[in-house]
Amino acid sequence: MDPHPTESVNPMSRLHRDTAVHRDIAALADGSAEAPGLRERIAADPGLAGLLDEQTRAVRAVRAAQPSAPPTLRAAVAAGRAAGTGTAPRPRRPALGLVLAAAGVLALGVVAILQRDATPSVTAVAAIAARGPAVPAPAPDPAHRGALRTQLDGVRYPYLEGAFGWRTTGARTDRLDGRPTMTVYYSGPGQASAGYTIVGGAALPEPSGARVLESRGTRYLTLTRAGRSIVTWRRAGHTCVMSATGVPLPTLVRLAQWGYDATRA
Amino acid sequence: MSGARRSTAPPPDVVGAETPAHTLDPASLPDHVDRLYRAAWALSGSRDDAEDLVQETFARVLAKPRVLRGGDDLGYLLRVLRNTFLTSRRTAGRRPRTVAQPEDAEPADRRTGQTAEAALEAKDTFAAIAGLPPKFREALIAVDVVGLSYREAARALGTREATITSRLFRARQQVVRTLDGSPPDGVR
Repeated sequence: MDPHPTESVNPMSRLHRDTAVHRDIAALADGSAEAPGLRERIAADPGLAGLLDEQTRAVRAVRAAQPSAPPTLRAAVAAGRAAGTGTAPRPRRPALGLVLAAAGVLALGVVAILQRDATPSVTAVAAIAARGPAVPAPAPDPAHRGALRTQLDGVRYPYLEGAFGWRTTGARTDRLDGRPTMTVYYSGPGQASAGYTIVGGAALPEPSGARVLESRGTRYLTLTRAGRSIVTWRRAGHTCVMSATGVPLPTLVRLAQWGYDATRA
Repeated sequence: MSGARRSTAPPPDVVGAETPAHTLDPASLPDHVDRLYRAAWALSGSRDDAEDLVQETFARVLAKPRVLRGGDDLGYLLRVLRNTFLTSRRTAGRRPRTVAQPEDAEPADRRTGQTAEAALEAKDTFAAIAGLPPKFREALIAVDVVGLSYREAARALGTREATITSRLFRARQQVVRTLDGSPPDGVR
């Protein structure tokens, strides 16, 4: 695929062009996985280190390129209308508002029926977190190292800046099926953002179909809904939900684990 | 070698047959606008084309209820975006793929409140991505721009996870070399 004149005399060059190694390095660069022993091999091999450097710089460059959609586009989408330049025919455009309205009413009706006398779902909790912060960020608690001053039902929120560089950016409170919820937002590298929600009252049912990760006596359940990565677990009998878009699940799990250990009641 | 990575990989998300079918919620679409806009920009290489592309994508999605298998709404939207892009390119063959044009350079994006430096960096980065071969470009957009997992990206693009990762590696390599002003992959 990639003829190389020195292959027969330089075994390292073959390693550098090994697609399996490339895959491992790609996964290491974006934090999605780390092959055992890979870091040691890279440390001992400048060629591999160079490949990792390229991957890392590319990831950093792309993650730094985070322009938001223009308000005009956002408004058009929110309204279910297209307001483009006519680059392609859009015969259904006039009906989009009606379609969206009807779909919204239908969805609300279905949700209302399904959630009557029901506890909220983890997915619904994550959907609340997607709304974004409504109040300023809570401050670190000097009396509880690794925790913020904010808590719900005695369960504290973690301070993630020191260990991970994830800055606290805001918070919001809501009620979901009568349950109080509070979400604290964190911002990580490349403008990644995650919401950490604690649900008041008894723990919620575990979501069906989620993957389970057991770690130090705690069950972490991971899933993706509506493009949002979700990790849920329990602290002091309360359901915690960490959710984000654009943040790999392993990263969320690491943040969830650290917060649990550092701030458990 | 990559088998070792698979054995230590963290639990992937829940998608596919394990997850029941559901109807795409139109109310959730605004949550995806930013990422689809970036994906569209990286696909087309043009900010204005990106706006049109996203609007057209949402128009298609909203035209009728969409029942999805798996919880991967964003992967589905990316697939529609990609198909819309390809269709628009076919029907508007008069327009070549847009890569950064000097006259497009603006000090800042007033519409999004970006700083001048960030706007220029984003422009360069998206231009580099738009200049990639299509398969590499799509892999990089799915994973690095949109934020899908390898598995989600593989499903969205109809290929194997290992293929996505290999393409991603090559795509990043070419992007970084373009940004550095180095010769493309295979030349140096």
